Amino acid sequence: MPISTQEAADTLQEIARTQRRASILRGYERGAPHLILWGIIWALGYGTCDLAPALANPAWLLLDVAGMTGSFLIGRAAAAGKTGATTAYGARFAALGFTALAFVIATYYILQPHDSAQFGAFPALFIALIYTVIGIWRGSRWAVAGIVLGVCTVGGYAFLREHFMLWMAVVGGGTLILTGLWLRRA
Amino acid sequence: MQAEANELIHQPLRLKIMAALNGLMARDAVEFTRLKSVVGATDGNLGAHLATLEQAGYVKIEKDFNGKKPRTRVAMTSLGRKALAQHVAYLRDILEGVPTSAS
Repeated sequence: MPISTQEAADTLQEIARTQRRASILRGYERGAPHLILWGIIWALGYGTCDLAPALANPAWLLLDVAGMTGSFLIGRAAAAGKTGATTAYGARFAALGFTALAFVIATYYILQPHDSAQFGAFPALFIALIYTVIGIWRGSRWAVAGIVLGVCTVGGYAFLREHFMLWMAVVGGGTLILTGLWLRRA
Repeated sequence: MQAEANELIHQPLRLKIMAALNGLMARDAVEFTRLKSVVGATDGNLGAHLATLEQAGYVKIEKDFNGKKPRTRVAMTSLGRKALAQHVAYLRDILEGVPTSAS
């Protein structure tokens, strides 16, 4: 089977392109349920901040624990059907959640935000940053989600300060849920 | 060791299938519908080429139920990974001007 240099180069490029596309779609498929889960958690958490501010702290604590447990279980279930490496994959998602939470708490401690809108805006911006960075390397849909989330967070903070928490419950949580559905359809 | 061409893998759609599966982790399986969107093939075409690859022992096809929905999943075998790696090495040898078994 004689193959020319040009054909060999084209074939190698096609292999690389297909591998990259498969890997991006696999990332979308795996990320989608996490986004939907955290979208629901944001809607409940930010919604509680707006409707019952006195319950905000215990509600967030409960929701964060539920979210990290859920992420662990989703990661484990995804790995169970496909690789057999269930615990390591699920644990990675849980570790990611704990790392993000620790970073947000440490930043609050150092920068000491003054009002609830600042408390609410920072984690959302941090998540928006993470998605945008992932998107730069691993698929443009992540970047679109990060940018939309970031713009909505800053926009709500600037123009809807009175109802910022409600804004984040609907728009922030909604963006995560819709992005999750969008990734699932990719 | 001199790398060898693999005519079975070199067919364009089969090459895409192998590349897509190779992008996954070892023992990882992908659903038929997902694989179809990655390689851009029709059901019939993809099914026929998967059957050829399965006969060669390069892929493993599993059929089961996800709830009540029938599901077909495809995974690459270690023999398939080895065969693709060898074919890629062969292509690289051509680019680098290394004499190959076909030259």
